[in-house]
Amino acid sequence: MALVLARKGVGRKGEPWSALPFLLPAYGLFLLFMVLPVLEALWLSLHREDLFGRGREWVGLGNFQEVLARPEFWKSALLTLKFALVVAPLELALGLLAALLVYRPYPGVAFFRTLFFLTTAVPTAVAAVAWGWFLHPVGGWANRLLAGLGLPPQPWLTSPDLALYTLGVITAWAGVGFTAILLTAGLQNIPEEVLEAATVDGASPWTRFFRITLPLLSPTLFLVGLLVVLKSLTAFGQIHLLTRGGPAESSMVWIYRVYQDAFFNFQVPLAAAEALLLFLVLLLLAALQFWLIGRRVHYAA
Amino acid sequence: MGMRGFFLAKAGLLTALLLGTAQAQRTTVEFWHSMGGVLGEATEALVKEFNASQNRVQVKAQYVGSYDDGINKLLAALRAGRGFPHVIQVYDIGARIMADSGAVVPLEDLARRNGFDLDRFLPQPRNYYTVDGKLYGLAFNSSNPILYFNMAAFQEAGIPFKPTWSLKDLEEAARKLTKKDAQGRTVRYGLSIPIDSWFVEQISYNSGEYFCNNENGRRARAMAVAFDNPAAVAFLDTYARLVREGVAANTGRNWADSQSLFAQGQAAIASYSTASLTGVLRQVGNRFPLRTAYYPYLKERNGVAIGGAALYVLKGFPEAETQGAWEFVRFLLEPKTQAKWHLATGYFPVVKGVAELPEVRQAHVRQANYTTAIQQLATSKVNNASAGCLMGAFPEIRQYVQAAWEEVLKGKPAQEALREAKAKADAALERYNRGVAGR
Repeated sequence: MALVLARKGVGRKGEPWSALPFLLPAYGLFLLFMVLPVLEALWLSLHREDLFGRGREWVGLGNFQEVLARPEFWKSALLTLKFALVVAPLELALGLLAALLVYRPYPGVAFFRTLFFLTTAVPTAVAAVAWGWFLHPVGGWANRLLAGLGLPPQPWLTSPDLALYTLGVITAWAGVGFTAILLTAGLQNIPEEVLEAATVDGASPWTRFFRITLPLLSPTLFLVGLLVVLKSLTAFGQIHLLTRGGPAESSMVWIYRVYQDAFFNFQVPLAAAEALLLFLVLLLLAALQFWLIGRRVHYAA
Repeated sequence: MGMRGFFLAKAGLLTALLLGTAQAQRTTVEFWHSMGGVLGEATEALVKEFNASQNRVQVKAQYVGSYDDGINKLLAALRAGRGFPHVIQVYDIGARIMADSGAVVPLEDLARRNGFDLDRFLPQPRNYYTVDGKLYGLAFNSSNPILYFNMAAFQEAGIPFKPTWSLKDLEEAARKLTKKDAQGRTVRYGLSIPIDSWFVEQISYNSGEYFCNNENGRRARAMAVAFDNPAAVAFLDTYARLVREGVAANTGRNWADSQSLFAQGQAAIASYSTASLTGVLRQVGNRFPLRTAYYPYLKERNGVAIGGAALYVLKGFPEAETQGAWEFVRFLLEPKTQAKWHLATGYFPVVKGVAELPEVRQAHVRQANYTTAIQQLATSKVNNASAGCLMGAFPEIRQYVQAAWEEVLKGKPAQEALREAKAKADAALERYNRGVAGR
């Protein structure tokens, strides 16, 4: 809807130019903090230098070739995919569940809406530290709960077999509030008449959900899913604070590899190339998303 | 206005003018450090004291984040060719990098020019930051690893205290100190050490082994690592074995996760830095009596290397400013300043004659645990093993050692895990050496 309105505005004579002064600060900031750093990264990625910036020379796409030839890079890319595959379904399922609980008004719904959104309002650093305590290998509440149930304690973040999944759950938890809001909006957009007609025809709640709500929600689900994948590809804070890419490089996802190569291994040009490759993937996903939104607006009109 | 009044006003104006010029003539020295929390407060206090002690130099201290953040901000500034400070604090393992940067005025040059006798330094802090025969950095905050004992648990298990421990003794004690419930689940662990390459480095030094070749990079530039030595192998194998037996706890890389375990009495022995002492004492409170001992060794105790960080004076400033930076450094080396810093932080003094000062003596009587690090250093042999490994790419190499430790915990023999890590570390070191020294 917003898109349609915006397009109408553009049609009026003279308006784009008078809007410019108002947009300039935003464009300026965007240029300064987004476009210029990307351009600088691009410039860096095409050069080679030592860690002090000495002996700088043009190497063309040499850094990209080197990155793509490194087995560690592909290991990280694969880990990132695995991470997204853990986060996305979980966050969508939890978000949908939360949205179903709060999308229709009832007394006290605001309380639950706030509760679900709260996870998004907690800063990543605070959440990560709290999770660290909760998952402490010996004294954490998670393992005390397990002990209460007579189960053995789990090395949530200290086992290479488990850490990535644990981080996935934490990431999904952190994003679920935002996902729930988007899905709530999606659920509220489903025409009430269709569901009423189905009820009159004697469809059970179960059937209504799977035959009507879910299919009508699927475009929203897909879009939100893409957004969740995008976010999971750039998840950094929780990994930095909880595992630092370990144990045994089991959570060395793409973006953490970039950090490691730039700030521990002091291979800044190579890290710039890795970052730009990740940027490219994100750009493709975002383009896919915009294309879908465009189609969907058309469809709704 | 009478004559008197006029005179007073004129005098006041003159004074203000003089003060103003004095203010303007004060040289500003920028100082980047990575001391947060209590350590940061202690650092700021020293800076304030220095600024108040004279009127020529004004030090502006700035906290630039962790050690990792600090060196990266410096490297970015060096790359850009501007924006770096007069004095910067860089972690221990950055010594080779700082010397290779060509951006440092060696401390030795400053000291000689200003008639400061280098023999006033303790040998270990001096050796650690000596690169290619020249002292580069001031060992500002120096620490070493020590053992932390829960003496209530020791008493309960009937183990007497002693200051020196072989790895074997430590292993046996840890087994005796472990308590399990009826289901065989550990209630109290015997041992907890955070996964940190530093402990592998120190067991090597303390057993007389090198961590990198060419005698820890002290005889010539290190070209390969040597962390697959018998001491490191034994240390990792022992630790993994104890974890499997439920005697040692694996709390991951986060020191705080191990410290909380120890402070709650759930691990009877732990190993951290001397700089952790103040924090651990506070965490333990009155729960149990705490004693500290020397870091373990494999067969024969050699000596540990110092850790922590050093201050470097950087090139590229007018002579007067560099001289101002030296005056600040010189102030930090005063025994009185060293004493204050030691008592506020637990980092040990790096010049001679500080432990004999009355305020330090009194504090040591009150809390004898603060003397462990100083005595450990004093009783360490002075050789290239205890000088510590000097090599480039050290931050990257530490990551490989930590990953190897985790592989060993997962079941890989330490010999194999360290050999695989060595291949990666050697490649990183070769790349560093080619990039920096090869041109």
